[in-house]
Amino acid sequence: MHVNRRIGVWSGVVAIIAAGFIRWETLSAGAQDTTLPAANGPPAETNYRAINSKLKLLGTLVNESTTATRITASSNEQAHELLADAREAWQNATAARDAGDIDASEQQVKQGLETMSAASRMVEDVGRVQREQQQRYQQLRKRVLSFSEAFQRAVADKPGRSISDFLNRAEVSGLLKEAESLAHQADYVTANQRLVKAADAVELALSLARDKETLVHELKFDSPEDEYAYEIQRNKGYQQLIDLLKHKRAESDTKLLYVQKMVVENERLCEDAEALFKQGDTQAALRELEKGTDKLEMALRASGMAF
Amino acid sequence: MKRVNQFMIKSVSAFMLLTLADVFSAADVMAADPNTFNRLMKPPSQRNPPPTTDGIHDKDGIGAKSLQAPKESFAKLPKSKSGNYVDWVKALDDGEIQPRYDRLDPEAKPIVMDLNIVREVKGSMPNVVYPHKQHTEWLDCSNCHPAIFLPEKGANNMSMASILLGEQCGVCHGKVAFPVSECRRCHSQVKDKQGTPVVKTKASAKP
Repeated sequence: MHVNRRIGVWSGVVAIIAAGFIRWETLSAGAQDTTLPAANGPPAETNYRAINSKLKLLGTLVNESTTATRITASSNEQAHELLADAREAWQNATAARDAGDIDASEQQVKQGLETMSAASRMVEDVGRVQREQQQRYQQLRKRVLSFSEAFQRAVADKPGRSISDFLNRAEVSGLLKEAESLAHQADYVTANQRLVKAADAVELALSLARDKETLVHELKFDSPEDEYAYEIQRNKGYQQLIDLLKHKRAESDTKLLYVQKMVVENERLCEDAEALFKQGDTQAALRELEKGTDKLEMALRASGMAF
Repeated sequence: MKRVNQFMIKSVSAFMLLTLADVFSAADVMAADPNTFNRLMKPPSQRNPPPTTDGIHDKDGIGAKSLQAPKESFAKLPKSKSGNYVDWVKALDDGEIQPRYDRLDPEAKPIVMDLNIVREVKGSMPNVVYPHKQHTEWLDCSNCHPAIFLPEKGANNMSMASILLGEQCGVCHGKVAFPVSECRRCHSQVKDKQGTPVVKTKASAKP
């Protein structure tokens, strides 16, 4: 009995030491992935997550990215060397992370990213640059055309004035034709330079034509039905804001009860409005709908939105 | 009278508590999602934090550490009541800032358009006055046209909902320009009961 108790005590001590050892082993092995290292004390877990994420990014960039493939496929020896340096930096950063030296790992990652960027700059992605220039060409064309239309409307508003009072039309036409021709030859860089000149000329002309003017966008409707349709859209806009408000607010917010009350009242008023509209009383329908929109406005005001 | 005063004090206290609760809950929500209600209603101590703690820049990046802190760089600029608390239009007018119009050409000048657009709105809310001048002194026409707004009367359906959701004016206002909570800076043309403007458009046009 006495011996058994002694064995029991020793078994307990061994079990505690073993458990501690297993835990230490587990932690040391785990440090390879995301947990704590054996040396230098345990840095914050967030640092590990951050460095792991950066390492993953750099690893993908130097080993699997289209940039790495493009550099490898090129004949630029200097870029090849830089890519090799970036890969080495990634390996060093991984080793430093595994050893628990986060600062050194960060330094290596930074160096790797900078080296990779330098290598990438040496081997231009011709396809991407061409696509971007092509997109810019389309954007610039749209810009020139929309401003040209706006300019023509502005001149039409001015009796006795003509386009040539504000704009050298021949010059702009020439620039547009030249740009089009250059685009056909796939020289989008030069084509875009021509379009920028044309856009600037048209915008300058428009600013001269509209100088010190005030344009009023009146809120006029062709019929009460049009106004009803407008008011429905306005009400829906406020409902969108209420949905956003409910989504962002904590559920415990007591103001939500008030908001909900206003929402229910709006729904009732909208239903009444719709019934009146179907009966042909559009003016009464409009009044009900506006009351509903006012309810939503009150709810939004109560929730801190300024009106 | 005394009873009325007590009621008023209680009401004001309750209102203040609600307002404080709003600010705190707004701050909590803001931490989770920057595109939210009242995200600009920060107490003074939390306004314009340095780049390393603003939640926008990479706090470990070299750039974030080398950038000048807003509180330092904004110190001498004219003040405003919201956003990043700088009156940028006044700063531009006073020559306190000289934004470069072209990245590569320091001599390039902007094409300034002095055109006001008035948008009539329903209800008692004043009409909106949009001044092109103050916008084009800093921005290029192509920053807004035609991608955000078609340069054509009646072609753009606008609503406060879409603006608050970060579209149309909300692409900049509430992010890099004064927030939309400053209603009267845009809704500046006051109307009478019949809806007729009572203030001259030009005088009411504010940036």
